[in-house]
Amino acid sequence: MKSSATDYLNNTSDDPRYTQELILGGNDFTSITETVSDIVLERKTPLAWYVMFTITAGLTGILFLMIGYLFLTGVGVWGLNNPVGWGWAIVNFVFWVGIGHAGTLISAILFLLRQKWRTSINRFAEAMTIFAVICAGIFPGIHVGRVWVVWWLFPIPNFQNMWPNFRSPLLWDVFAVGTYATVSLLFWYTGMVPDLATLRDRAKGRLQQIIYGVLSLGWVGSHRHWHRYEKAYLILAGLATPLVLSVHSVVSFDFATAQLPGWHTTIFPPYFVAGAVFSGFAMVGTILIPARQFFGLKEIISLHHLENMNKIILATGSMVGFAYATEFFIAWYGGNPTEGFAFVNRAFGPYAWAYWIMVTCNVVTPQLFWFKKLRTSIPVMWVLYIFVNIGMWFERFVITVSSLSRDFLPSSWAYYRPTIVDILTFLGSWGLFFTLVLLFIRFLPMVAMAEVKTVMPIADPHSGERHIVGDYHGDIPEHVRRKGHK
Amino acid sequence: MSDSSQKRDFWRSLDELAAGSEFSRLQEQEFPGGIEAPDDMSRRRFLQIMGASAALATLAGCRWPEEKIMPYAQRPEGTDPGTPRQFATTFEMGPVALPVLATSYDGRPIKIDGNPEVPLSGGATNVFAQASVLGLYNPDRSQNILRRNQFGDSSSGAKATWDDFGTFAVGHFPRLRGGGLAVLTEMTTSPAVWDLMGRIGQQYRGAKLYYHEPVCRINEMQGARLAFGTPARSQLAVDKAEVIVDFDANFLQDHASSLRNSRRFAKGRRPESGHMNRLYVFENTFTITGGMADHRFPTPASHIPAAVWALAAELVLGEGLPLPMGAGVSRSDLQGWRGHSAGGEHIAALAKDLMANRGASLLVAGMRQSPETHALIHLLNQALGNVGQTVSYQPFDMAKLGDIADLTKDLKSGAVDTLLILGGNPAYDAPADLGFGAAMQKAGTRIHVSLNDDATSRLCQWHLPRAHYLEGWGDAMGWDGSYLAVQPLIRPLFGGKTVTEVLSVLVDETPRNAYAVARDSFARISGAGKSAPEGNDRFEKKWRRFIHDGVLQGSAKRGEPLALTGTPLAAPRAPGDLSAQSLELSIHHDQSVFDGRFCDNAWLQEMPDFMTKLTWDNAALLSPATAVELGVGHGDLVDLEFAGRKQAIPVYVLPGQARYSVSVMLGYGKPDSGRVGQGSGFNAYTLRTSGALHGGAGLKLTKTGATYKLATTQDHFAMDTVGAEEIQKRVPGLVRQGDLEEYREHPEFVDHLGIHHPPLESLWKEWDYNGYKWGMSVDLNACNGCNACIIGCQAENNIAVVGKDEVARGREMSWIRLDRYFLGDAEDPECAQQPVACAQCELAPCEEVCPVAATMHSSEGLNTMVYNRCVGTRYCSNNCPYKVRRFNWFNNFEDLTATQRLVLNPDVTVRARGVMEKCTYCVQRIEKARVAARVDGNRKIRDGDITPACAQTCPTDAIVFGDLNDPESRVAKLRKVPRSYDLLAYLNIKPRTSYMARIRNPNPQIAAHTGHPGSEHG
Repeated sequence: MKSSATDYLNNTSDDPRYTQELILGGNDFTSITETVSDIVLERKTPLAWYVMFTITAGLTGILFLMIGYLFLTGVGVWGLNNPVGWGWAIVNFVFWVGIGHAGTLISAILFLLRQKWRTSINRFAEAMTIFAVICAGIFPGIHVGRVWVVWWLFPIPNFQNMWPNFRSPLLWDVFAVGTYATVSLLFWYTGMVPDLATLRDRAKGRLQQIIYGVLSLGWVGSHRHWHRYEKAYLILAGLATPLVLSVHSVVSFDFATAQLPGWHTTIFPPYFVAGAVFSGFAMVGTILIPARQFFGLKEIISLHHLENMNKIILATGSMVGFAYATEFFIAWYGGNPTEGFAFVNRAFGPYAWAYWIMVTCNVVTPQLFWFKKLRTSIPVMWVLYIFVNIGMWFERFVITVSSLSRDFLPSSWAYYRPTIVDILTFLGSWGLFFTLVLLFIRFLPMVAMAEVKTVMPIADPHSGERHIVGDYHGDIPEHVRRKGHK
Repeated sequence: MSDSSQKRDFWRSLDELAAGSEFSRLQEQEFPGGIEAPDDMSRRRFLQIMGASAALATLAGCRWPEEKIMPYAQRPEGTDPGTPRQFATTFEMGPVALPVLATSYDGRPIKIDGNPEVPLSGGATNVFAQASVLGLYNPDRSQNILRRNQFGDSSSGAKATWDDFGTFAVGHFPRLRGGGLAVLTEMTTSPAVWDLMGRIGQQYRGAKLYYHEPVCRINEMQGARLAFGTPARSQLAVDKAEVIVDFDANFLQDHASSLRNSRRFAKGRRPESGHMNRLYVFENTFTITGGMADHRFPTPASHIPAAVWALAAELVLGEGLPLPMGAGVSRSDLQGWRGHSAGGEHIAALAKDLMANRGASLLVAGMRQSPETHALIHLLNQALGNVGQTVSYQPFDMAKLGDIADLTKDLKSGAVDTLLILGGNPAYDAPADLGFGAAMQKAGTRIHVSLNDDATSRLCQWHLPRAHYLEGWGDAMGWDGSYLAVQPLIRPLFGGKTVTEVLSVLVDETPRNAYAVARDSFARISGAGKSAPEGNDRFEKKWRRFIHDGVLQGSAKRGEPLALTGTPLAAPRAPGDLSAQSLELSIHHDQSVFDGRFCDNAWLQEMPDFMTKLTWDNAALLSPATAVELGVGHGDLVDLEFAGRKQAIPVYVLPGQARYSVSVMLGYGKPDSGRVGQGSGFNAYTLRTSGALHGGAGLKLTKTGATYKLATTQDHFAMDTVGAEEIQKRVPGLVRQGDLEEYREHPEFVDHLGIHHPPLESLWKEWDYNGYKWGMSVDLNACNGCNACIIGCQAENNIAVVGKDEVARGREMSWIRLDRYFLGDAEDPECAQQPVACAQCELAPCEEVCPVAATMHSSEGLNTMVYNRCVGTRYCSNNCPYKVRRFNWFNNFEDLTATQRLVLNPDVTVRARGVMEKCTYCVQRIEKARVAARVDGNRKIRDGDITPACAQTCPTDAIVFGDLNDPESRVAKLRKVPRSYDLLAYLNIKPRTSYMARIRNPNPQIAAHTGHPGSEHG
């Protein structure tokens, strides 16, 4: 084995002779706590954070300016037209909701499946979920014509004495996304309580102590607390698990239950879920890589974690590719000429450029992850993550816009072009997302300290040096600690 | 104004209510003049002012001659606030008078429909008449009498009063009795006007009368004079014809009796009745008549005379048709024309068809064709025995008038001291080579009576605001000779006066008002004396009947056969070969803005051209092959150079345009237009010269390199191959067509077009309809695409106008649209038209997906839109397979001035920003009929009680509405006709609007040769 300075960080070997550790660098409980909580409490906020925050806050400002302009003027400020009644707003909505999938998947499903490696990244992924859902939630709210009565979509008593139309998938959306946002938030917060208590205990400033004190809900780490906590966490994980599948299934119903060729396909629910997980993991990776770099978390969020994520991306990307192929097959095999045309038009019509961007980014490039070298290379994976983000946005664009732009009667066909307001609103939503991410990094524990500790060898009651790294008695020699445990 | 004290009390209290200085200021003026309220006026104040004007307007609008005004505190007998009333009047456009019914709502005219009592209309109207009501409320209409010292001293002029003009007239006109007066008028059929003009001739020695009409029918008259020795109006009995040949006539739209022609043509084309005519059209650009043709021959306009001669030669020399008595041509004259290339390869087949249908064929030539061509057409109709069968004539006396070229000459010679211009806008639309604007200023005094302070008015010392036809009394003469009434529905909004009132100042000792002039004219025509007798009950009764009916009963004359006079007809010059270097310029009037007079009419500007689907602009129309050869494409800005004149204009590539023929439409690029027309289109008058009014060969087209954005409502972008091929595949299933023979052999042929599907079953229980079950049937065989339904719907349902940029984005608001597809060869395609509006599906996809239940199913099967529940998710529109739903992207009514709002129909909600809208089957009319039926003994609504606006205005009765639960209703019966089909039926949406397939009747000899794409699929 090579013994370069960074080599010990590579825990991706599949050699069965060696146990691969999740947390590297010989960290113990103290060092984990210090590494994570110092980012919030002790370390000086880096200048780069301020620079980035200024940029993202500026973009957020633009988002709200655009929304204000939209509210004052009308939906016409966007590029929508008669056949294309849904454009970037809905594309962005589906895109952000999709991003939000990785969090719950990592937190809940991997938790139930006892995938220990999740602990290093779940906090981050959950936070990202919340922020993505916030970004997503904005769009259906602002895209309606009369935004001042958008609350009529909720089944609450109103002067019209009417229920909303329960047959409408948009209403299902309201419930699905609403439930998802609520459960995700609860899950995230519940999991954070022990860590918030840690911050409370370590905080030096009065204000910090009060805020973290309130947020940690009087956590003292007693057995009773832990007992309740773990029960609650398990229940929430159980609740969240079906939601991972349901949210995007329901979002896909917006399209699938409509009769528009290109929307009206039964494959949508699983295809959307796979795509959502795909895009969610890519987004987690996109942000995680710089974060672990900047904040010295490489030992906690190790290459092994990233490689696992890449495997999931490879799997879901292939599922998405399979879904694309199936759509085409069914469009031909189904014998419905209008549907057949919708797909031919996608690939060769006026929106072919968008279609081929989508195929390239979602199907072709993720296949590079078959190669271990590429899937463990930080620069390669980061570029591919960006590609997946682009591809998945275009997938929603292709589905939404290309289908609408050419439907049944050729007389109403039209081409859709976004306006500057569309573009700035979308950029603004990125600003909001990153603003929230930056605030999260700065003020909350970005790694689940308590959970990470549970997967460390020393958390094992039977642990002892013998069980860990071999034949040493007493402390592990420094050179072994540094080089890993060959 | 009346000085009744009650009236004052009433206004005073209103004033207190309004409690604003603005209102007081308005009140001080004549009321209607004050309607133009500031745009920031609150809704409440607006309503008060509207109420006030409505009260006044009703009174002005009623047919009581006493010009008094009363408050509604004393309701005039027979008026119910909120109940619309209809008045018969006449819309005149050039020499074409169209009898109409104007609907007045609390004194505001809001809608124009055809007058069903008069055969010329039969209840139908064209787009111009319907949209004319919007012109009444054009806030850019002239609102003042303006005085200018001389050209250029003040562009806006100084405001004056009618009294000022009266004073001026008293001093000025008497000294013209010795000579020097010239009157230039636009064409009118009004006997009252002609009587006054005649008296000018008598009273003013040497006074000269001229006419100018940019879209002129003089060639038709001169052609009749050439053939028969007298001008005559051709009366076409289109329904009696088996074979019709149209030479650039567009007789379904441009002929003076086009509405009657349309109805009769449709009547002669109902395959179920056994009568199915055959139409051949020679034309250079695609007209609606061309779209209806069984055989259309794209022919450059300059080749059409040769085509007529070629046909004559083929008939006489080839088929042995004997020349009639008094023929102006001999067999030898025709010798050289047989087989002339202009006639095309099918001329022999056409001649055979005509020979086989002697006495039941009809040839028509268009107004752009030369008098000789018209005379030859008359000759051929005579030879074929059609006169007295399918065509007859009404000879009439035509006043001898100079034309605008004569006037220019006289002006330049200094013979004109005072020039009085009645209507028109010659400074804009006179032939460009005359330099009329400059010549005009040779006249010492220039007076223009006009609706707008336009380019001509700006060159005059006096601009006199003219009353809109809905504001003044008058009369008119229909194409069939019927004597028609023009009566006001509202007092002049901006203080205008009629042409007759101005003329009366010149010729009457005590100037009469328009009412008196019209009555006197009626007295003369009806034979009651030289002027209206006072206190004569019989006359009074007759007069009332006249203005009630809108027509003098029995005044329509029958056409008669006329004998040919034998005046020799000069053969046309053999048309030169056209090429990309020497194109043909073909100048047409526009089907939206006509000659420019509707440039400020937003409804017409936004109405898509039936063929190009172009809005707000004109363009140079080129055939695809010509465009390729010239290397230009859609939207390229090109320079047209003709006879030393140059004009930039964008290119529109139109399939079916004759090769090397470039069509441009007049009426756009008006420098003096108001806010609406500002910046729309390009001025084609700059290319028009007195020698070549309709263009000619020798046009050069050069690319400028710039492009121009054209806003169309269909094919918003250049079609790619994938899309174009799919359209060719899909359209035969959408707009179903078949040949007559095919239909007779396989009546159910329509069922084999379109997508084949298994039996359709619903997943859930379908709706029950126990009461009425409204449905509609659209006969594609009758629909010719004239757009009348679109404007009818617009006026009835308060459809917003969104402007060019929004149309270009695909956001036009029309509830009913005409889908137009081209099939087959791009140089000689077939055209398929289909009106599409909400089909009120029984299993409506829109209803399923609305999250707030804003679009609901009514018990009678309407997909009702509940505007105030709609939050605007647009999901319904996405899920609508017909894409007939329209979304209010902005507040479309925000920019309307208070005057413009007066045209809104109070029965129909004005939709707010952010809500979806769509065709309702005119639910307001359904409800009105329901109330009427309930009042009338609680009976059931009868078939025909309800007519939606589109059906009402349709000249061919292509749209029929009724109760499908009533097996005896027309619509239920039409649904049983074998060629009835549902659009996109395979989606199992069960649309309530069904279509009837179009049946073509091709000449077997030609059809076998060319084939046609309509029947390939199946």
